[in-house]
Amino acid sequence: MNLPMLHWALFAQVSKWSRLGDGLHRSRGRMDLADLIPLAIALVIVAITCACVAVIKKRNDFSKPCNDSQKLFRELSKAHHLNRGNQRLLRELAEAFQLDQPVEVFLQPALFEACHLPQHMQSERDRLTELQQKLF
Amino acid sequence: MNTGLDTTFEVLTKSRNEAAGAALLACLDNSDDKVFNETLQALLARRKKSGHLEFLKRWHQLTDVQRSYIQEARGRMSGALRDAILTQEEQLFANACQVVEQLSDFDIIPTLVTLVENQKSNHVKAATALMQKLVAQLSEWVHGARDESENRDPKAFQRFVLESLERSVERFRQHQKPEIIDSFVILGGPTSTLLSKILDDPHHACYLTVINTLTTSSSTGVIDMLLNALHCESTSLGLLNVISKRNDKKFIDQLLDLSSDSIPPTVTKNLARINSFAWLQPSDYSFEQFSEADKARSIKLAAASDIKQSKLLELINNVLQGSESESRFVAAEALMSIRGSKADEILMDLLYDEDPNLQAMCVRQLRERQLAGTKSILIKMVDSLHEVVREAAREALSEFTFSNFLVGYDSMNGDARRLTAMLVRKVDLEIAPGIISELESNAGRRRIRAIEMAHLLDVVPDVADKLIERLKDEDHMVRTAAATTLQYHLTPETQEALQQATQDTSATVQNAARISLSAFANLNLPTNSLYPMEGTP
Repeated sequence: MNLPMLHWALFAQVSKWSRLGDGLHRSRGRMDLADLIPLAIALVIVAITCACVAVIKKRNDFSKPCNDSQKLFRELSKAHHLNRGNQRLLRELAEAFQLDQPVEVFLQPALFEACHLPQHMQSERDRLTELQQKLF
Repeated sequence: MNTGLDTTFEVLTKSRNEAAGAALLACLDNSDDKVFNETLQALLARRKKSGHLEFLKRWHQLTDVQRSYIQEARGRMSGALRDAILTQEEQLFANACQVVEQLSDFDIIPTLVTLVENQKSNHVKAATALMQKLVAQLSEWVHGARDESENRDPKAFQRFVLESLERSVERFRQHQKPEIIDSFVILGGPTSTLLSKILDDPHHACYLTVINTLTTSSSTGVIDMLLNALHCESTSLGLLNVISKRNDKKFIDQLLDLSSDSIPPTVTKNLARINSFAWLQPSDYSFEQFSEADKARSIKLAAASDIKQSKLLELINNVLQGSESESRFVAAEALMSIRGSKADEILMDLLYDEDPNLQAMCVRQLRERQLAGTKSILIKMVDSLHEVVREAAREALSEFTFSNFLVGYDSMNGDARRLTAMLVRKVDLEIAPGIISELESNAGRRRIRAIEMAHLLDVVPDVADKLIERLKDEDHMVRTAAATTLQYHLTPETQEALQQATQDTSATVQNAARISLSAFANLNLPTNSLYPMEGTP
């Protein structure tokens, strides 16, 4: 019974609403630009997050036409369920043999043969043999 | 189960990343056989012209199995094939030609036409040969039986190729390539508007080339086109002239097939506009070399045409000298269209041929010729030993029917009635029903006439039951006539009926019955005899 009565009392003072909240900051009666900085920072963070999401999404979207050998490498890595370590190893192999495109390692089983491996990759021989079996 | 390599090629085949094509091309030169084969298939499966061109460049080095991969790529290769056909590289061009032929890629014909027209290209000769080969293949496909395994529409290809050929025909003055005209004629057929236009215009730049192609080409398409033209309502005279000039075996065999059964009316109409056939003149393959059956078929065609009657008679005589009865029959049939003493002479000779069918055929023609003595010959033929001849003679004497006899009966005297009745008896095999119908007439005079006719036509045995019924007719004149006539059919039933008639109220009837009964006694034959006494009135 009391609540509707209070509502009526509030509506009766509608002309004072524009001053609402003034009492919280007694020192300043008006808002200035500095008050918007946290809000702007938050917006920038949201925008950067969205852009990152879009870039990542585009990077992993293999259905769009493009001409990107790195993306093709990722597409093949994904199809073969290769982890980052294996992907890195395959890139190193491609670099070692100076292939035009890193994806060529997926098509040349001979590159994985221990006898063909350069000296600095001999230590990865076992992993490469394992990868060769997986890829071919 | 898929291997890792299968997965790789699946990705490279389906990927929309153009780097996949470059990767595949890169590994063509440095990979083992399995990878190489898979790479070829992936390149063909991808819709990239560069990959297809690379495949074409290597075509001459590939094994048969590797070459067979191209069947899967049919329809996707047109762009690369077009580039390869127009290239100046000899090997690539040669490879492309082989692939086009193997794939029967009719899409490439317009490109070949362009190349054929090109005066400067080194590949004109090869392109011309390939174009002609493809057009011939397409023509066979369009006119041949539909191959269920083939899902391409030959008619669609025909329309598409014809468009480019027609454009090229219109440029004939510039390129002067008769091979293009050949291809156009082979594929165009009699329904082509442009072909009709050329044939109707002897001054057209392509006229002579077109006529030459139509006269000499052994292509199924051209032959079908000419034969189809005979079935059209408004065939141009140019095409009919071509038909009359062809004397190659392939064409003649198919032309003669038209007369294996009855010739369709439209064909007959068109044949009537042809006044000569090259195969009637002595040549490598002409009438003289035909088999007897073919001679007969050719006579049917010649008879339908407008060739001179003396020439036709010569052909007929030639066939009649042969031994095959079917051919001789056709020749005799063809005589029907020829008038004149020579034809009459041949016909009169054939009337007494050993073959009854031939005799019958001549008997059927006899009446129309209105020769002296025709009727007496026909009357003799009615008594022929062969039913087929008797039937033909009856057809020729078809005016001697019972109904005609009935109409004229009253106006004839006794002799005329007897003579006509004799002919009607031979010609009309359905007399009895007519007599019975008359016997049941309401008019007494007609019933009496029917009884007289039954006697004259010698059908008393056939209508005896009805005559016995007439012994109880209300009209005593009818009863008298029936009693008199029944003496010609002596059976116990007749005898019994006549015995009863002797008790008739009319003295005339009684008298007639007694006279008829006396015939039984005079005959002195068993009472069941079917034969009347000779000399009885």
